[in-house]
Amino acid sequence: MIRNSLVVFAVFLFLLPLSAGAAGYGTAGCGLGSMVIGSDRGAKQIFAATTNGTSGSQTFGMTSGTSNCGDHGLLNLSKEREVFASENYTSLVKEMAQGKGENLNILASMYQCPIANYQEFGAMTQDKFNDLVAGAQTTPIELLSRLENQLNQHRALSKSCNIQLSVLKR
Amino acid sequence: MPSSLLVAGITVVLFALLPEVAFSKDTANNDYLAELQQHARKIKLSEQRVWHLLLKYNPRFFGAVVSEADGMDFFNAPDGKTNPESELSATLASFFLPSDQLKKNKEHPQCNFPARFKWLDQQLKFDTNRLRIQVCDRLDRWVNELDPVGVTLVFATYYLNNPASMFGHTLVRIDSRDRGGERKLTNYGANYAAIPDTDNPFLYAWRGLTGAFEGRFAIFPYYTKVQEYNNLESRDLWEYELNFTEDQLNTMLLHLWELGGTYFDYYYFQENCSYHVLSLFEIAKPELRLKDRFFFSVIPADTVKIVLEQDNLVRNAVYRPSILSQMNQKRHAMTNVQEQTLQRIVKAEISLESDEFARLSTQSQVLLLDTYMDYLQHQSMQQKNNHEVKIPHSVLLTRSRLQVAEEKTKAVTHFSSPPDHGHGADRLRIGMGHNDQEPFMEFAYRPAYHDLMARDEGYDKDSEIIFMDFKLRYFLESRRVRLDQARLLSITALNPYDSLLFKPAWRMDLNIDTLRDRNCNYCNVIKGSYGRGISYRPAFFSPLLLFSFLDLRTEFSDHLARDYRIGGDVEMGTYYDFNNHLRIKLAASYQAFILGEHKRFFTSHVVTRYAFSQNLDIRLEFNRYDHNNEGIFAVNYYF
Repeated sequence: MIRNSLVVFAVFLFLLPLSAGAAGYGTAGCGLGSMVIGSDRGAKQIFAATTNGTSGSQTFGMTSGTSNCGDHGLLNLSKEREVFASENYTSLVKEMAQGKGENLNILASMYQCPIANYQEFGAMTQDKFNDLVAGAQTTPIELLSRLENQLNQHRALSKSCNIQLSVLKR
Repeated sequence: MPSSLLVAGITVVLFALLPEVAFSKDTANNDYLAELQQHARKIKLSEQRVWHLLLKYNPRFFGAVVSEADGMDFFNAPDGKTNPESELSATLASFFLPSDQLKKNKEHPQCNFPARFKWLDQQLKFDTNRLRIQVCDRLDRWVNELDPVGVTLVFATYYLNNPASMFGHTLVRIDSRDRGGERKLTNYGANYAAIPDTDNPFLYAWRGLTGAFEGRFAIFPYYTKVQEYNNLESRDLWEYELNFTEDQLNTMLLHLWELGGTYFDYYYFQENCSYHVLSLFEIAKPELRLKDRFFFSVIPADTVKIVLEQDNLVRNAVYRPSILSQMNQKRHAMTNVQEQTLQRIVKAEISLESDEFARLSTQSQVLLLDTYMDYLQHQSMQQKNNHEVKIPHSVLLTRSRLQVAEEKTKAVTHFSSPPDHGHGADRLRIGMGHNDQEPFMEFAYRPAYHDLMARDEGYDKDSEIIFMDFKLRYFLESRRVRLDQARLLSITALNPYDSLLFKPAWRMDLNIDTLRDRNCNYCNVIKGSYGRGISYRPAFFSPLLLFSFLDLRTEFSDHLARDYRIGGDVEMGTYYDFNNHLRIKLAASYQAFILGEHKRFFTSHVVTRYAFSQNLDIRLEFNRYDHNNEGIFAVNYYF
């Protein structure tokens, strides 16, 4: 009985208007190139725990050949800003136009700005918005390098923040 | 089997398994291993709860156990999946493996199974002079980088458009020491999910239900999941920050490392995301007994409830609205004029460069642009390229020229309610009623999930999922018990009309019912229907909802003229909330069957519900099918 009704259940799921959601939604960091591609019916993309053959107990999302990943399956710190900016690009650019927001604060923290300067960081990105995002073609990496330029030129932020990757701990 | 025989058997197995160890020159090691194994047996270590949690053993009949893990690398003994004792002995033996005998590119077992090592060390107090402790470089860097000071249970609300997410989803966030406060989004999340190997929705559902998919744990930056759930799928997130000590978190992490290398057969209703999330918490704190209460199905919202019921486990709850909810929060704060202006901006009837827009106050402009940008972001999430700005540059630029003074933080309007406020998913119903001939009693049970007449806190208020709802009636005069109705699956998504984002309402229903438009001695009929419609709610939190549907129907029964009929219906109705307790539904439909048996008739329903609490309500129903009437008084209990 249970089995039969599960069959019926499955048949009806077949009839549901499945959403066309996940098409093309990107992944980040250690999932790059290793994710199971979501179907255009809304199946979720996941960071697959792919085996790369280097150890017995495979950890997560490890793929050889992605520069964003360390061999321990986490993001390389040197790629942290880049991956963050790419994955949250629309939210980040929107917040820059607004001059404040959660993603913007995180970006400030990734440049070692003290919390007291977050507001100034946000105000600067709004003020210099047209320089930071020149047009629809600006890539996340270009945005970051322009942001670093602006930080260097900024009177207060150039002192309190630090754009060097080497300062990221560990 | 006498225990000496068993010991001998295990020793033979071990000798066969690990000849390097067994015949190692270092006989002192062997002595120490034998000593540990003997001691472990003596104190019955393999019977302890923690060992069973670590190896995912589940009880079977007659005291037997079987591990849920299906990747065989998870075990050290060949019979480790079903034999905790031999697995424990083999695990101890594996820890003695000399590092020069490791296969190339393999981690030492001490590094592969660090949670088991930690626990066995605590229990047996390894003598480091006699057991060489291995350096686990990758593991150490992993643990140091994650450096957890907390863990957060994250609940993603319902997503009706994907059957795999209909009941919500849970994952955990590992809160690192230096990623607190403003930086919470940069923490890592751990997720358990099925890895689907098919695009075919039929196979997808079938395999999901029967355990044919591999389920695996994965770890990823939490913000990628926020983008996926919050922004792509428009699901609000509820984050529950939990209290664990740093040592407990360390154990959980070490166990997660072990799980990363294996897989489980994924069962949609039982061994699903929420089930495995609960087991992570049990590993951290074995006194917690979170999974014990679930046997038929593990529904994500129920797991949130059980976590919240534990003393001092939840530290803090945080609501993270989806982009759609953020947009609606802003619209909720708008005046009618502002809302109309927004609609015209969306329809491109007002340009942002126009004088009409420039004449508005800065505050108005900011509100409109912020809302418009949310709208554009929401709309464009569905499009292909993720690494492109989805909001037109001109809009962004206009917004960047506007500055507003830091406004006071307003109270956030919640567009979903916390899952733990919801009624239980199981429902028991007892009722009494009367039809045109005789009185009857009614008994019903369903394991899941929520119907539109139930109190909607904790659920999506405009949708309904009913699964396996069986109802029996006992007719008092004819002294008969009949299956009145079995709703195998019924889904309704009302999607109230929104001129900005139009989504049609839809519903489907598959059930075994009584043929109610005639007198056939309560004969049964198999029915299926699918319909589309439209519903309207005057404002976001208005108590009134109007709906209408157009459905296709098929019915099969040997009491029908040609054993079947195919047709359709049009239904109109309304829901109205007088207050938290009292809701009423009025609905009427005209049904017309044009293939098979021809028939046309009207139905009408009046249902009133009064809720005493989250889990108890009473209902008064009046139903009319063609010329047949019935009235029912019922009590519903949710658990």
